[in-house]
Amino acid sequence: MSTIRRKLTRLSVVSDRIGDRDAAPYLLVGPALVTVFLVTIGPMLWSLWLSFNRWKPGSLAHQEPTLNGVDNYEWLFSNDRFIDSVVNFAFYGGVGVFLQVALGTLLALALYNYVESRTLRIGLLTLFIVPMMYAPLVAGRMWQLLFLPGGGVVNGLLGVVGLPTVNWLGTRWLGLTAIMISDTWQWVGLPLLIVYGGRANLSDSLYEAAKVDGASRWMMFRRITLPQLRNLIIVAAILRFMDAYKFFDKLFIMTYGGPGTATELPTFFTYLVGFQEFNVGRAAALTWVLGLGSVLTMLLFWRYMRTVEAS
Amino acid sequence: METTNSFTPTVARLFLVVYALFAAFPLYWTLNTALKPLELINTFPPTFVPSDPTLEAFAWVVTNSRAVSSIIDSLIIATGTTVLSVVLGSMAGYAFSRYGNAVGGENVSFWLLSTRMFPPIAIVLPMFFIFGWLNLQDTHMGLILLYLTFNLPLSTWLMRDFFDKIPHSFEEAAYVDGYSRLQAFWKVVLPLVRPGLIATTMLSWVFAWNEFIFALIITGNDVEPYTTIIPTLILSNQILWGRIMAMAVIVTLPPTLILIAFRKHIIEGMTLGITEV
Repeated sequence: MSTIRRKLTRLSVVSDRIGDRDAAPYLLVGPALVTVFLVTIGPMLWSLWLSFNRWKPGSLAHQEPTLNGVDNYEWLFSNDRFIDSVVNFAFYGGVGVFLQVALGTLLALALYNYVESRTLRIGLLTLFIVPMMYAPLVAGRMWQLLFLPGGGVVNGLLGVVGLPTVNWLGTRWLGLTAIMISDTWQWVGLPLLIVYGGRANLSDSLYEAAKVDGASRWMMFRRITLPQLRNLIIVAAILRFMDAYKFFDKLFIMTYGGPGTATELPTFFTYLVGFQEFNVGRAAALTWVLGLGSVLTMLLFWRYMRTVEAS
Repeated sequence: METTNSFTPTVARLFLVVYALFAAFPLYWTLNTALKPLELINTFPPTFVPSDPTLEAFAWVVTNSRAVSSIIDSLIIATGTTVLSVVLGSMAGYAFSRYGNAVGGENVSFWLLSTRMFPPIAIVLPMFFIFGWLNLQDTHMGLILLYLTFNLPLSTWLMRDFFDKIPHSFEEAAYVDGYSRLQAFWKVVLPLVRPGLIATTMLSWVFAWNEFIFALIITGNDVEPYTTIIPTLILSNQILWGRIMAMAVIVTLPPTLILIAFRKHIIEGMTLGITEV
């Protein structure tokens, strides 16, 4: 009897310990939140204020930030270079993400369905994700070598097949395409992993029932696999699309936005305005327009991530 | 019926073989270029098997003081930021997992993760000037702090996920046995979450190791992570491909070995906990 009572009092201690009126949760979360505030949120709020100022720290005329209303934003939206970089972003983000997600999905399903040997399956999976371990900058340098107009392997192969060779990094759309190919090589593993994991979690009974009904492979793909994996595929696409807002390293090393300003993406343009011209107010306005875009994408991500986590 | 049935698998396997070649070729080419003498790098047709392999480029990397010190700088920064982000992230992740509602639950942990998604340029633009005032430009500490912007949200999110997989009843049993909260965490929860802890550590390290844009803007004289010296390996307009690729082999090896050794957990971490293979 007394042991039971002892256990019961201990149990009530337990419920106090994991109760809500308790300092521990805040002590545990506090340091992380404060750090994120100091290195991310705080500085970005300051940059929001800067975006309504004219500030060129390098020049004599505008050494101190001076308020200039929405001038920076007006400049931005009437700037052809910015508009061009947004068009490039739409192409790079739209086509690139579609390519990566489509390829990743097909590879994942082919790997799961048609490679029987487990060792081979894991081996291929590993091979497909090793490129993610490259520094993006290093991967860009590597692909620049492959795309060289003269001695590059890509043009070499085109020549062997009898196709005309092209100056890959020398024009706007070819340059963006070349960057997109190198980025696909590096990141196809991410959608692949997500879809592969999702497919492995689908129960076989769905497919067995369909087989009994005489469904073809195509039917099963269209009616079972795709609908079941839909949300996961969307999450993979959004994750890759969010990286398009950050895209910098490969562009920096492969074309430096060139020829001229032809292949600039918004992030790279911001870098040039901020750290080459030191027009900090304008660069801050740019980062906020970019940031708003990525916030909208994030809200989408959250929506789908919840459905995925719930299932 | 039988013939249509074997058509799809054949096409699928062919597709896998072709893509595997596409994926593997640049890996091979990195090594191949690193082993070639300089005059054979740009020749046409390309030399697919180095006829006259040389370790010259590797010898340059390991004897050049700038290359060596850049790798050391990257090591210091990646390791420092990993320690901080894993410690702070585990604490926060544990709280989000166990006392979710008290600290804002899903919303706050997701909000934290979302700060990772901001374009780095938006963070580094104000930070460049703030670091100027705090004398943190061109220091290891500066980059260690800045890398927390992407690593701390990641480790918090991942650790929350890993803690979520350990049933609360484990701690409750420990409390009943008279363990204090700290003891229960150290002796019961932490050993169980170790694989997740390793994955989070490794991923944080790899992301910091491979980072470029922060390093480009914040450092460059006293401190030079290896990514910042790769664009400078140029001799009067001639890109020094051999040296760059030798360096690429050396710096890509640690992350690749980490991937192979901890494949299962790295995959889980890479996909933010969505995929478990």
